[in-house]
Amino acid sequence: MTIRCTILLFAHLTDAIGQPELSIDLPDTTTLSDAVDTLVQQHDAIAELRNTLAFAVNESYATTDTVLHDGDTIALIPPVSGG
Amino acid sequence: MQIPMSDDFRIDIQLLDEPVTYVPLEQFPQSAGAECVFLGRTREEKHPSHGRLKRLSYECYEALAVKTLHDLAQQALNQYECFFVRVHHATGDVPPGAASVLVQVVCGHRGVSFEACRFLIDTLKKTVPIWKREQWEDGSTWSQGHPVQHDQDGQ
Repeated sequence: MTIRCTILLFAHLTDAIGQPELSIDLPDTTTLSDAVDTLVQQHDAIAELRNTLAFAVNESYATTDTVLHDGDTIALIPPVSGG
Repeated sequence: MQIPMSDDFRIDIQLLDEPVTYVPLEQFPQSAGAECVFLGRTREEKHPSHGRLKRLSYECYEALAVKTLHDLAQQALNQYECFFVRVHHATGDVPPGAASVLVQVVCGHRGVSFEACRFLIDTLKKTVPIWKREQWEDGSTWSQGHPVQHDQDGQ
């Protein structure tokens, strides 16, 4: 049993990966931490920024122990620079 | 404008696809003695390799940016006893001299109005998912930015 999640990318992450969205398939009962580990293995750009990223699940900031469900949208939030 | 008591009418959050400007309040509660306004503008700058700054280009994660700004405004209402909080932020291009962000608070006294305004702009810069690309005469760079310290166990 697997779940499929959409990954939203922003700013220099979009530039580095070449697209604003990814889709990943993950085992059932996966946490956000597991999903990020998978993305880090697949994309060097995400690995390089891993320690500076915050995360959101379904439009709310989320901690890495958040359990994911099929259809969830995960946003990778690089350092912000508004204002 | 009238300022009703419901929090929904005491907060004005907007993301605009053009530079922001000051929006005057036409009427104040009688006990409001201070209106504090901050406008953040694009500075003229010169990059050692890329030449003069043509404009800043902002992008955002709109749903989370609006939600986070609402949360900040609600905190300002509660902590600083503001009567009214407005935060407008530009997305898209902002040339030198134009403003990218407006923070406007109405409070009983000047001290808390300064504090509320500073709280809002300082916290916005550290928590709201907005990103700034510096467009130079020759090339572009992403502003370094602040890591969002939300996920304490994941950092």
